[in-house]
Amino acid sequence: MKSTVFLIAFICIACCSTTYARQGRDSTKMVMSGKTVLPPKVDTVTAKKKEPKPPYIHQFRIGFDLSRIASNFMFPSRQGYEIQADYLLRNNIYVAAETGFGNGKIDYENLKYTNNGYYFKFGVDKSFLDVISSKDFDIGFIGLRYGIGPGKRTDATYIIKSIFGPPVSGTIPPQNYLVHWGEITGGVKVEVWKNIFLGWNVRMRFLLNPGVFKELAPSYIPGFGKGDKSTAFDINFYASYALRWGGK
Amino acid sequence: MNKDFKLLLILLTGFMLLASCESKEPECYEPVNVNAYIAFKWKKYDSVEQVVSVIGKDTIWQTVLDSTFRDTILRAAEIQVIGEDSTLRIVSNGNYTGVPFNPAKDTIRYRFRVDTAATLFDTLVFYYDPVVHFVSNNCGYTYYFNLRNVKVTGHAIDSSSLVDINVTNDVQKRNVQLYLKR
Repeated sequence: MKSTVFLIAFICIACCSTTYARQGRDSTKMVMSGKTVLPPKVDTVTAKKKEPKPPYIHQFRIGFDLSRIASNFMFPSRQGYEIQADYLLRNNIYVAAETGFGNGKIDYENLKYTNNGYYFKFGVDKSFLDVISSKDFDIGFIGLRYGIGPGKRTDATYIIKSIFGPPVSGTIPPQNYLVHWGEITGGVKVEVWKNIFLGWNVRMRFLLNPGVFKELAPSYIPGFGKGDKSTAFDINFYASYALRWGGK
Repeated sequence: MNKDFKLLLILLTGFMLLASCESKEPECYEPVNVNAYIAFKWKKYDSVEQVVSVIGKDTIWQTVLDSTFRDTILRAAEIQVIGEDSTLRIVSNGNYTGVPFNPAKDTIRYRFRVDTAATLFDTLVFYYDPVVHFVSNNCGYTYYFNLRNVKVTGHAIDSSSLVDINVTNDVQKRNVQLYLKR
């Protein structure tokens, strides 16, 4: 896992370095022999002619988190589904939103309960890759999210073993909760076929109200992760379809 | 984006999926057994008034005692529960030992002697309040205890004091201090 994070960081740094290297430096002055020399005057009529801006193509992209399906099979104690959408603004900025639902289950000999919930996340992504052409929609991005998720935990029954007699059992009352968190994300989305994207991103989440669970924190909070931790790390893999219009 | 980069991306994606295969949920690694820990010290008898039990921690008194008496290692101290549906018997080799409490009751008695060969027994009576405590989702719940008092008979034991009334799963804590007669 650590090597994966380093590889991602290396790719991001490499892309940023390439982008920076491509940027030209606009110098309006030259310095020669200690004197400042202005460049020769150019034809102002010609100079005023600006290159036409590339047409603005609207793109709305909607996707589904495929990694959740794999996770549902690997971890039956936590199930969830998520869809994601983003809209391209100018300057390679995307407004993004994700929503989903899920449930968790603890079914051990000494503790049993279930919980379920749904969530919404909103934020922005900024692509740091150069746009090669007007039809280049591949992005490498970093982004921020704010997430909020209501949920409910059912009655929790527990058993405590004792060497002095029979086990002691008890019940913890159900609890409705509302959690919200901040998220930093980064990843890549690539158009593998016409209007179809594949991409992955990594996420680091920070719970903003960890004190909401005074006694029993759910093992899995949909959209966030482990409820007894104030930070969470996740990886998603999306398949998306883009709707485009304009640009003519 | 060129073809090579896309291929690299897809390969990286595959690697990421493999890396995302987390291992199974960890089992319970936190201690759920809760014992009250009793430490031993030899006390030289003098004209100072004997203290049967001290509620809480009197730092001045404790400091004087600690500076006078060192921790005592008992090679074969024996503690056995009394009046429970258990034949729990602990033979200690060190300067402290741990004893469990019954969460279904608020008192428990133990019979104590400084050595398995000794003929002089003392009775330790612990008074406590059990409190349900959540450990983790993998470990479930356990009982912590709030010690209210401890009483001892004065045969081999000179006196006792409550050092820490919170009996938890922290094995570094010392809850009760026993002062033994020389």
